[in-house]
Amino acid sequence: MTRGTPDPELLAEIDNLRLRLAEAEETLAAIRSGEVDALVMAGDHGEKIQILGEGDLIYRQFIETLSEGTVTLSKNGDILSCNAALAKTLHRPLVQILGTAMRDHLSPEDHEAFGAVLAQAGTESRRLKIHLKTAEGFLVPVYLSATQLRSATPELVLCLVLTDLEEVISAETTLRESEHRYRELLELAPVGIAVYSEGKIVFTNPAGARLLGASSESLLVGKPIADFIHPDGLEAAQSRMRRMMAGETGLYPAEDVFLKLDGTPINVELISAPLHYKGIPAVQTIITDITRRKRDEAERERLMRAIEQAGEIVIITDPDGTIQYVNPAFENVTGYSRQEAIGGNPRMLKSGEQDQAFYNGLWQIISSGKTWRGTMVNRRKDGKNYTEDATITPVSDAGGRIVSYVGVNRDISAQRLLEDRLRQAQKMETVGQLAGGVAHDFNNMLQVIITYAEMSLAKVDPEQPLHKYLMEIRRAAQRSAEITGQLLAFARKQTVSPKILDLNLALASAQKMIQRLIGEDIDLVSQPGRELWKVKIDPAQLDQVLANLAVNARDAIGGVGKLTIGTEKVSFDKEFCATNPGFLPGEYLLLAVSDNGGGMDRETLSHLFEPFFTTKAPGKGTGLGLATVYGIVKQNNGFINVYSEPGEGSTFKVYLPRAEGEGADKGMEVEGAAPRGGTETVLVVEDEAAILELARESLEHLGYTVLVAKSPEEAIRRSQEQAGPIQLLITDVVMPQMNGRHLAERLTSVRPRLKCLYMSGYTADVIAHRGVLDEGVRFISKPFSLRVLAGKVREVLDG
Amino acid sequence: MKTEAKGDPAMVSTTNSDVQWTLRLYVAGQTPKSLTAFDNLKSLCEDRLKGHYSIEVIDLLKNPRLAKDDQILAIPTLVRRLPLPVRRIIGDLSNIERVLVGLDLREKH
Repeated sequence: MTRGTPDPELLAEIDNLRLRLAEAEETLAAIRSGEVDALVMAGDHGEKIQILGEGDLIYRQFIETLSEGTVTLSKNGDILSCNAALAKTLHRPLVQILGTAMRDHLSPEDHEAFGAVLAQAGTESRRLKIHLKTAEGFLVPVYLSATQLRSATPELVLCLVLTDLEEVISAETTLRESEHRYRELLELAPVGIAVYSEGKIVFTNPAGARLLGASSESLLVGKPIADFIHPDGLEAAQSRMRRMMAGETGLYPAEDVFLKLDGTPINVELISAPLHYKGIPAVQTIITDITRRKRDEAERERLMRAIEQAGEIVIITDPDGTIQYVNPAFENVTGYSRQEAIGGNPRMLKSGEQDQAFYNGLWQIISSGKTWRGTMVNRRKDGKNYTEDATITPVSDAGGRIVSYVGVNRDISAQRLLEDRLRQAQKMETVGQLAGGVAHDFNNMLQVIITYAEMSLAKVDPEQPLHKYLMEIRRAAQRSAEITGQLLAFARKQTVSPKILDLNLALASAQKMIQRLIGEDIDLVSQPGRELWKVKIDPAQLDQVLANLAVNARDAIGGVGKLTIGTEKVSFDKEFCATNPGFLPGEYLLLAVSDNGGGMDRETLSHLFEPFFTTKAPGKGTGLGLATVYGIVKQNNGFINVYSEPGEGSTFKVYLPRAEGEGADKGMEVEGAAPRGGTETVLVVEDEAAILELARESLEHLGYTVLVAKSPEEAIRRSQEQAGPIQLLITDVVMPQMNGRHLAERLTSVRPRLKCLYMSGYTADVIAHRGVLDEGVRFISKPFSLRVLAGKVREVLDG
Repeated sequence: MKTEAKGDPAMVSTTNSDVQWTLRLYVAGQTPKSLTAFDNLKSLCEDRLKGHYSIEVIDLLKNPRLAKDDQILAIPTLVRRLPLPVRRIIGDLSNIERVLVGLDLREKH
């Protein structure tokens, strides 16, 4: 069947319609089933989108969860809506906010500004800082941002965002406070703090300005830092800074020398670090002026050196007495090294010479805060003792507590030794003086005894018992005279006639005497030295020395043994004497007498030369022998040393100075036979009657014609009265009105051929003062025996 | 309800890997369904069309006039511009099956 074919256009139209219908149905269905939440609507000015239902949920949630407050205002400034944050800030419930005027929630001060914002036209956002007013009336600073809204209603609406500024402000405040504190720190810091960048100072604190000698910081800012560094250290400083900037560590603290503004150098300590100053790399340095510290260090260094080099011992201990420090002098004197001493106690030096009470007393004084001064004997490491003068001082801190003890001690052992020697010498001197005084008077009396005894002997028949008695008397008197002679010799007040001798010759001629003294059991060995110099000594004195030493040796050997006598020439220089006490510099003849006897201990040696000191049994020895030797040696400007050890024998070394001038006399008197008399006329002058009488009788006994005078005046008168010759004048040296010498001169001026013989028992000093005792002067010392007198008189008359 | 376009020349699906898809999603700002639709679309494309798709989001809130292009009435609406034929799906695209069918994606590629 054919109907009319439908119109293709129509068909297309139908299809289209169907399509569109389907779409519309689809859309409707979607809408109804809730699958869409917005529609495109036709609006006055074109399409408009209408959001359905919950379409703005997300926006709303944004607003509510914002911590910033949001407000929507009407044109008049009334609150249309706000979020939870605002309500919280205002401390009000929503109901108290919605519908109210915004300005009611602002600080009154901000009303005007807010009003301006409200009135402002245009869509640009407006910003303002204001204070919200809470329900309690507190003001909260906020930052307000307002935007004009296009809304559905013709009313313009403002949207505000309020940002709480409290935190910001508080952060700002904190920051400001922090900055303030930092600045204060810089201002008040006692050390200099400077910042420099690109070689110039950009900042310095007041302390830094002061340190560099500037009255204000501004004087320094802008100046190159190099200006303030001492040229000698500039290169090193710059290199150090470069290394620090490159990241090297361990460079600081560093010491350097800076120059103040006026050029004065100061010692400084630096600590530098890099930093950024206003964006530019810079260096911050802490500068401390250590000039004082350096000076103190140098001072301390100097003091330390003084202590280290001092000759005195310095010991420092802690309050318990433990040694903390000793100086080199300590090490030298005590023999303990520093290591041995530190940590130890001074009691290591105890010698046992002081008792515990001594140390207790010492401790009591110093622990009470006082200084102890005294002398004590300590022991060296090698066991030898030494004496020291000690000053021990406690050192206290500011609170008065003792923190250490300081001992400064001087080794006075050598000093002590010298003192002892001096004392010894003085002792000898005193005894000597005593002896001298006694001896003089004694002498005169002895003189009397001897002479009368001799005269009596001459008148008595040898067979008679009386003769023997008289002999004894004479012997005793003579012996006594010898003793006084020895005493005087020791007292160095004996008048002597020194002669130039050759020691070897003297020794040879004394050999017999010595051998006789020591006996047969002892060998005498002679060791004469070669080419000896001469000595100047009274031969009698030399004899005495030899005799006494020989006897001493004999007694020390006590049986069979050997005695060696040697001579030698020696000389000592100053250095030798400095290191060997007991020697004096110069040229000497050494006379050494050695025995192999029992030797002597230290105790004996210390008393050896004392008069009346003897180790022999009572009655055996006078104790004057060695004292005499000592006196003689001293009188002749020599010295004597003894070397002896128990069991090792002894050696006496006598040093006699070399004689000036030449010529050796034999000078040894030989005991003659019977005294020869004479017939000459002799004038005797003596102020002591007994002696005068004695002399007269003695001389008359010898056959002489004797004239006597009690005084020089009388002597002169006698001489004038005497018509005939007077051959000899015998006069005392020391007399009240005129000394013997002058008298002699007076008389010899009248009687040119008058010879003189002086006599005296007086001290050598006194006589020397009075001008007698020249070489070769005829002298006879009292007491003298008849024999001696006779001999001397004859000698003088014959000479 | 599925819509089939009659008279459409390209009714046969040409869903093979070489074809570039161009998809347009019409949204209205940040409405929940707009967001959901975008999310679902993205997942789907990554899943099925990785490497050969491009999504264009058109926010009609910002520019309502653009609704005219594809004659959008309700939001969200997804429009497949390429490959032809143009297809349209209204809704938040949560019903995956419906979306696949509507875009002619199904299971086979």
